[in-house]
Amino acid sequence: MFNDIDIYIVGVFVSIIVYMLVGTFAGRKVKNIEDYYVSGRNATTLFVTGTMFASMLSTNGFMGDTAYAYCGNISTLIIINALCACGYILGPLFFGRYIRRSKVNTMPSYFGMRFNSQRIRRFAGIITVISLSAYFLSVIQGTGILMVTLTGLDRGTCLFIGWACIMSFTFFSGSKGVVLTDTIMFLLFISGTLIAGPYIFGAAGGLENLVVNLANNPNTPEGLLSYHGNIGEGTILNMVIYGVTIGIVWMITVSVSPWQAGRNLMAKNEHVIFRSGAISAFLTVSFLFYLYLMAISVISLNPNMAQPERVIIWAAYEVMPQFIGMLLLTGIMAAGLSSASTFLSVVGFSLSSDIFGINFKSEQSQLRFTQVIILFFGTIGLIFAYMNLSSIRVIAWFASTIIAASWGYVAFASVWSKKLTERGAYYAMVGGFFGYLISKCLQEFAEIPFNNFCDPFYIGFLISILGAYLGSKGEVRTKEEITFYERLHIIPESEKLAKDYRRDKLYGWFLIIAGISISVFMLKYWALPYNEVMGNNILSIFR
Amino acid sequence: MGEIILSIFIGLCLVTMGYILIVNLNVEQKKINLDTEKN
Repeated sequence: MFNDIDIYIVGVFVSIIVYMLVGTFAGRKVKNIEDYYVSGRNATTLFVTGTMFASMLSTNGFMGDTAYAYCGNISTLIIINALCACGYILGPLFFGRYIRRSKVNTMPSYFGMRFNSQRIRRFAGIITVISLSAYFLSVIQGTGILMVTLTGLDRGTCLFIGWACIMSFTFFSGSKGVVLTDTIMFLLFISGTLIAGPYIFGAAGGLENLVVNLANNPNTPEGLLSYHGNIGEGTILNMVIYGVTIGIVWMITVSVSPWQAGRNLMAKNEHVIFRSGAISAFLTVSFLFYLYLMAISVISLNPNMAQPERVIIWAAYEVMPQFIGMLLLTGIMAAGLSSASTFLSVVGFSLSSDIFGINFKSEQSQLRFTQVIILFFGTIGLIFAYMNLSSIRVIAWFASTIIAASWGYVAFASVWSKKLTERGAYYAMVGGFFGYLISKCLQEFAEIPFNNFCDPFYIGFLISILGAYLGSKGEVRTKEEITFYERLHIIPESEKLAKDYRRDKLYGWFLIIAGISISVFMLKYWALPYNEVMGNNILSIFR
Repeated sequence: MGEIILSIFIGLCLVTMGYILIVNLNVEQKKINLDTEKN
């Protein structure tokens, strides 16, 4: 028999051993650089969805976002997620399928080939490394903190165990291992959360009574149930614009970022890209909504937590049977590990392939060099995470926003614009990068009020568009650029099967039905009962 | 009222995305069929 702590330790170590074994198994199938970088380009819908969603959802989602919901901002989060979900459809349709068609191994190399430019490839590689290093550090630290809670071991040991786990399969098997383990982790945290939810809802008086119970609970944070959420010191307009801005940032990020759109490079065909995008869009809205409902249900059970980021962890220990709690917590840890392994591999590939620009004698030497870079970068990350420098938090500003601001426009224009030249694309990337960076620093250090529609993201994005226009003015595209552009728009014969299109369209219909169902659910269980409790008889306007 | 608008907006995002996916695939399939007929 296991005592309270033992079952969680067993869960952590059994799951880690499984990931390492699976990763090693995948490593044996790596035969060439394409296997290592893009998993042999044969991933099915399940695997692309698994790696895409597992990379997107990390400990930040399970701990940071649930804390935000618990503190009264669930409505802001659902606005962000609804807009983010749009990126999973718009991205594959207007960008993702085209980068797969270009048969590149990394996103920066796509930009390099599209504009026939080494400087663009290198700069895109630098943006990738800066952005994903921030995420890598944040996630590895979050996973370490969670593991400390689960096992009772010291922080340094937990960081090392997490590092050794992701390093083992990322180093040996590259994307083949990352895709496989990401999918296992994805299935684990989805099932763990779905199974755990009813225990929390039941303890809080039932999901159907949640809104009424919270509306009558004096401990419910201000504004939790209203459309604008807890506005704190700000205004309703500020809060809504904040939700929309972050939602747009994430919509662009999942459309064009190397750790989201880059997963499309591994897809078996273009139809897999559409289907996995549709499932990810659905999960982003529905699964995360379910997770946040779990978080706000805890308000009735344990209000005013001093550390709200532990809301789901508290529920796993106190509200559900031990085994289910263990399943949920190992699932959260899996979400952290899966994101960290993706960030580590993408940074390693970009450093070795795009930034250093080495001409390798053979694929084997490139593979070995990439492994050394992954080991080196991962070790630096571990040291920084262990040092826990508070100044490191500054780089978290650059995580997703810098990608959206600097190459969001260039990515779509690289597929659809006949006017964008190499110089325009380069100016756009540099302008977006520094436009965002400088305005963000001015906002943080000089306290210049870049708020609402003057957010540093919008400033960077507009400068990027301006850079593209001014850089392309008076220039024409080179022959190489035109040839590459035209080749992008030729649909391969293997993609033209009618039965594939029929199946893709079923996913579209699934989204339509899911959207209607979610609206009906929200109206029935939130909007109408909440307005009734508040004394606003909304239904009377229809009579 | 804001809660009702938000409830509809969330669902509408998914409905619109499903619609955009279907319409784009239909257009593309028609183009493929036309090209096949021409050849």
